Parts: sequence; C-alpha cells; structure tokens
Amino acid sequence: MKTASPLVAEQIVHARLACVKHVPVVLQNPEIALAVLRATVQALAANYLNSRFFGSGYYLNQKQLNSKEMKNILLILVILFLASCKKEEFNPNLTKEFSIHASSNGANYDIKVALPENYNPEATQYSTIYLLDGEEIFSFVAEKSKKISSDLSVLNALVISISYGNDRVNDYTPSKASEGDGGAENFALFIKNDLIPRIESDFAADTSRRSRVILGHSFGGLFAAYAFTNHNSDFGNYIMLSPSIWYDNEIMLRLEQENRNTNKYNDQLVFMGIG
Amino acid sequence: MLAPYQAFYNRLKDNYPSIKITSHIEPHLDHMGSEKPNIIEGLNFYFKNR
Repeated sequence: MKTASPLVAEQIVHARLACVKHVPVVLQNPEIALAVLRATVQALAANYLNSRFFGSGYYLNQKQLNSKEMKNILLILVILFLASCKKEEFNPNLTKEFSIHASSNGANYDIKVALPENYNPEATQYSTIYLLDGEEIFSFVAEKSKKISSDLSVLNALVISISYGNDRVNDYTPSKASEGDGGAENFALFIKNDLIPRIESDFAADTSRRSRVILGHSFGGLFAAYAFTNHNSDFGNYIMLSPSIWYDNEIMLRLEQENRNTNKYNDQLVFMGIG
Repeated sequence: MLAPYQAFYNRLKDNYPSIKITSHIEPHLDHMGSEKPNIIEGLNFYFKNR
C-alpha cells in the first residue's frame, strides 16, 4: 500500500494530535477550536483530492488515519467548536445598563457599565474604559480588566460598552469616503457631551482626562485615533487595535499633523496593536 | 495595512514629548484573530503604566 504524501500525513498528524491532546483547551477557546477545525478540513480536503484526482497516487497506510476516521474527528471538532461558542457573559450583578440619546446625531445608544468587584462609590473614584463595538467585546474586556488589575494588584476600572445606536461605519469614520459617511465628529460629541457627563454623574468615576481610556478595533481603532487627534482633551489613554489608518488615503496622518501643536505636550498613554 | 499603521505610530512616537507609547504586533494572527490577544496586551500596558 502506498503512503500518504508528506503534506497530507503532516496535516493528519497535526489534526490527530490537536484533537486528542487539546480537547480541554479547545473547549475553552473558540479561536483555537476554529483553527483546529480549519486544519482538519484542509487535511480532509487534501486527502480527498489526492484520492479523487490522483487515484494512482497516495493512500493512507494503517498507521495513519483513514478518511472515515478523519470524518469522525471532524464531527467531534464541530461539536466541540459549537460547544465552545457559548458567549461569555460578565457577572450580571455587576452590570448596569441604560439607554442614552445623542444630541449630536439623534441616535439612541444602549450602554453597559461593568462595575469592579467591591465597588465602593463612597470611598473610591475609578478610571473609565470606554469600548467601541461594545456589544461584541464587553464581557471579554470586563473579565480581562478584572483579572489583569487583580494580577497587578491595582484598582480596577469601570468598563463602559457603547452599542451600535447609529450605523457603525458612519460613527467611526472621520470623513466621507467609499466605506463611511464621516460621522465620527458627531459621535465624538455624543461621547463628550452626553455619555461622559452621564457616567461621571451616575457612577464613582474619576473625572480627570488622565483617567479616561478609549479602546477600539479596526474602524473602532480608527475612531480611537480620531479621538487622539481631534478630541485629545477628552481622553488621556488610547488602545488602538488594528486601527484603519489606511482609511480615506490615510486621512489620520493629515489630522494628526493639523492638531499636533494643540496636543503635543499633553500626557498620553497609547497602545497600538496589529495582527 | 502595516505601512499606514507604522507611519501613524512613528508620528506619535517622534512628535509628542509627553507620550508613553508602545506597538505590539501579533505575527501569526490575522486582523480578527489578533483582536483579543491585543486587548489583553493593551489592558496590561494600561494598568502597568497609567
């Protein structure tokens, strides 16, 4: 009997190892489950193509997995992946929710606020982390904020999720271009004039610029960059994740230069990340 | 997409004397896959340096 090609054999071995050894990890991590699932599908497809179109070519020997076993593994992985996709939810007892109207663009935004454990509004003023795309990442950020601050033995922050009250791309883009209509200025005014005052009156939030963080990914990261250049007095901390700086012929580079003299001596804490 | 990102990062790093800035690249993860790892990196950076 002929053996499988090195590539197919390697993929099968990886899929087998991933499936057998890492089930507990897979159960906890949808991203890993998806990666394992993808690798397995690729291996199965390669095996099928080899068998189907190169009939005289490669087959699997008994030490490797045959197609039936691969299908069984695939089925198990699909089940594990679906099980792992259960959306994590931050402690409801520590989550406050309200809706707020934006005077700048007329939209209504649902807001969630994650309170630190042992939240003590009488004695403590907390930093605030404002999340763009909040509906997608609120629980994850709230959980990580709790864990990281605990690990570092520092005071946790209030985590504030901003939902999609208006069109996301419109809200997050600073200019009208092919992808968006340039509603970032109105969205920034909503945060400045409506949301921040509401948070800082209803919760024990530190009201200084240096205690406010804005966090966004992709177009959300673009908006965080816009907040840096055009609303630097509102936030002292920026977490920009894969920000779409390419947008509209890299308009952010121009806005940065236009506003540099106004912002350059402000204290800034900036994290930029990309994949 | 890396070139504009790097250009913006360099602008901030080179022209703001009071800035504390870092850049983190997840080399093996794509646009969506890097989001959560970078959130963790970003929160760590914030809580350590604020």
